[in-house]
Amino acid sequence: MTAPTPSTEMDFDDSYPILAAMRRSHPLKVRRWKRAHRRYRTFADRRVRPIALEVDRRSRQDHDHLNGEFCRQAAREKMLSVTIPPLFGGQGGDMIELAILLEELCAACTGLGNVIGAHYLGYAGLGAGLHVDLLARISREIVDGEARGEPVLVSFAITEPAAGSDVQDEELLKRARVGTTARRVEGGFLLNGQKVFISDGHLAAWHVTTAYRDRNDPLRSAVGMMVRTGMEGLSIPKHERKMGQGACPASVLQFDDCFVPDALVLSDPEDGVSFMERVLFTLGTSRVGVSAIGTGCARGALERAVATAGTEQRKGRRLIEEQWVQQILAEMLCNVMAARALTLQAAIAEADQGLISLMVNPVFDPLQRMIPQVFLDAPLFQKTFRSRAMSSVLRHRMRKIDLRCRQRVQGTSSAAKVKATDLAMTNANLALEIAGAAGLEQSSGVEKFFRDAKLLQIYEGTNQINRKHVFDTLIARSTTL
Amino acid sequence: MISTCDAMLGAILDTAERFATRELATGGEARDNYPFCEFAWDALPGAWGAGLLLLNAPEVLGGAGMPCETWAPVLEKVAFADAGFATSLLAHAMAVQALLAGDADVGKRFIVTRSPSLLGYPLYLQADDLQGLPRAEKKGDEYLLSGTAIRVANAPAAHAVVVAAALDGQETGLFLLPLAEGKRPGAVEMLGLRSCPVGHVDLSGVRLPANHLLRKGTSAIAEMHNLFYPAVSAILIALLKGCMDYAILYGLDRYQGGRMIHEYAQSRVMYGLMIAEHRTLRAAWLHALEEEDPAAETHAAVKALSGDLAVRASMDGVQLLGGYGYSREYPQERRMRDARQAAELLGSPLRMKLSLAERAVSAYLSARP
Repeated sequence: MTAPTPSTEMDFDDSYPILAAMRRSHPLKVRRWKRAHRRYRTFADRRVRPIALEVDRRSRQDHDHLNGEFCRQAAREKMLSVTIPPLFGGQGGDMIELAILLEELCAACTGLGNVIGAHYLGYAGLGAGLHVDLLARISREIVDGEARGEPVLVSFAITEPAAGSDVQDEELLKRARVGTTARRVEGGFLLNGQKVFISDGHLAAWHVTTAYRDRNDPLRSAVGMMVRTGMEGLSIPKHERKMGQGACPASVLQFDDCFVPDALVLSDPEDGVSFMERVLFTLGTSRVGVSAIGTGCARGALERAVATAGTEQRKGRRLIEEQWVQQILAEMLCNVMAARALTLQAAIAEADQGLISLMVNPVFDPLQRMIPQVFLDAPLFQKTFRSRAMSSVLRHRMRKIDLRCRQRVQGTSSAAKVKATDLAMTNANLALEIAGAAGLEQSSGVEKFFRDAKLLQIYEGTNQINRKHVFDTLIARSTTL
Repeated sequence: MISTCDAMLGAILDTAERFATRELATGGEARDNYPFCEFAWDALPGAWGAGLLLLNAPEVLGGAGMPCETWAPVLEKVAFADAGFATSLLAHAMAVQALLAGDADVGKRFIVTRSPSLLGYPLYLQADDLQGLPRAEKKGDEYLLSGTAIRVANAPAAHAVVVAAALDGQETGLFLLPLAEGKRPGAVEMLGLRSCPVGHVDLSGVRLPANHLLRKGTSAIAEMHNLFYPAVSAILIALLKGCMDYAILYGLDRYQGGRMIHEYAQSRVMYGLMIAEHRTLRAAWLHALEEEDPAAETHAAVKALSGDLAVRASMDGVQLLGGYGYSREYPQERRMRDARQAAELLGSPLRMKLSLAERAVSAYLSARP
């Protein structure tokens, strides 16, 4: 038998047969996803893969170095406005398109991919405010920044020194030891406290920030607000030294009497809705993103393993010729396919009944894709869609999503997050099993996935918290306990 | 075989523990930054002063004259504080053991030093897969070497290293290569055990006197591995215990959702698994240490399993600290990287299992009528 030639080059149809199968029922969507897939892979091949190892090394050598140039490149190639609605000048991509983007980036470098992923998490947090005027304004900033080649990133700041995963769970949040306070003053809030592990904190222009009017009642007293880098009272003193994902800073945000005007407040419990309730709803969206990141990481580990198996030898034979190696590689591909399938399922559920669905008006959404941008930018359109009435419509639509739908979306996305990130860790370890000692060298690119993957099981709620969600939302609701 | 009740061993273990507590308990994060910082020379005089560098050297050379298996419990103590430094000592110890098998004058010259200094050893060799080794050709009274000795532990900081090379026929040899200051290889950036520097040694054009061939044979490398598998297992067991202890202690102080982490049943399930793994592994390891014949496969089997279990447990160790587990300001992430790296010492776990299976199948086949 001829020795196999290792290749991991899989096109759209190979990678996403379930989407490709929709070409008759949804020809326009499939064409769009295919185009996006090509575009994102090209970006990953040209702008991410060549610098991944150097960026990783540099993050250890020079902890203060930030990857501003990569962000500028991402802005120039319009990687920051994929899910922004066309109404606000964006590309109008859906959750599936975002999942494709994150998988492609993270297969090349999970750290750099997370720089982009964390931006979309922040953007989802902004969307959760259901404050259309603010959403429109910041969306425009992002889009205009791209036109100038200047990145405008958004971070999502909820984790605190003494409150981590528990601020991502409704039940635990009630008893969480939160420390960031929002005190009502004339014209806005005074913000005090500290946020930690904020992905992109040092790179972002805007920070979606949660603070609490009553620290003893965090669930019901949470205020959501947009804080801009440079505002008085906000400092970003350091970012964490981490095992992996060195390309993406996990920053500390320090608030000392930081005044946030009412115009930047996304949601105030005085209006009847706690921001944390919306955040928990948002996590249904963001966990799909982490699931896609996990899929990318699992695939990246597979690709490195295949490349290593094609060159390293055992007892005079290339590893790829050994049956045990072929079995492991097959297992790794199965893992990638499982992670991707769960991601797509969660993305579809989210688009159907999650946060994204709120933004999609069955009449207007197709229209805005057909209406030329110049008309969408016209003052009449903009005024209409930035009005308070529009925000009220969105809040009304949110309230109409019943509990069972919410649970389905959140449970599905938590399940995808758990499994895809666990499989990323599994694949990273298997890649090292195949590579042996050669894979331990940083220059091999194998060990990096092992370091990078571990974070995925921790952020966006540890996998233990997410398993709790899966139980609470998909098992406990339908069984008698 | 060693007796863990031996009084001399007890004194040595006390010394090792004192050294680890005094010299290695702090500064782990800084040492872990190698090769982007200086090698941990600070700890070396302490190890030298404690007699650890000459543990398996004979008394005539100023050593303690202990059997090389003694290194296993000693390294368990040291690795609990710093697995990277323990690995550095392991490489040194294996080099000393190889030197003891060679020419006495060479041994004396390189083992006995006036100041603390390290020897290097290729710790990442796979005993049953020696393809791609450098070559050594006898030319008169010398050996002419060619190729590169890859991933030699301590090489960037050692005054001499042991390298393996293929001789004519099926034989391999272990050679001693002196490394003058300025001729040492640069350090390779590795996943873990970073306080044990690793370098690739270029052997092209190197000529060595014949008495620098320390030992040779078809199983020269495998015999060395068999002697030191328990020492590698010890490092892995110490890493597992370190992860377990730290995770449990963290859970006693840290709250989640208004309850301490240790109060959650899920945390206790994770603690329980780590405890079971540690106790089972340590029992197997102690059993292996009592074995008369190091060539018996228990040593290799325990080492292979130690790698798997330590890696698994270390991942849980990080998980139980959440974001702090991933931060380099806490020791758990280093233990996870160290465990994965240590699992590859003296052979990859999966490849070792394949070798165990290959030998077992051969034995079954030959036993059939």
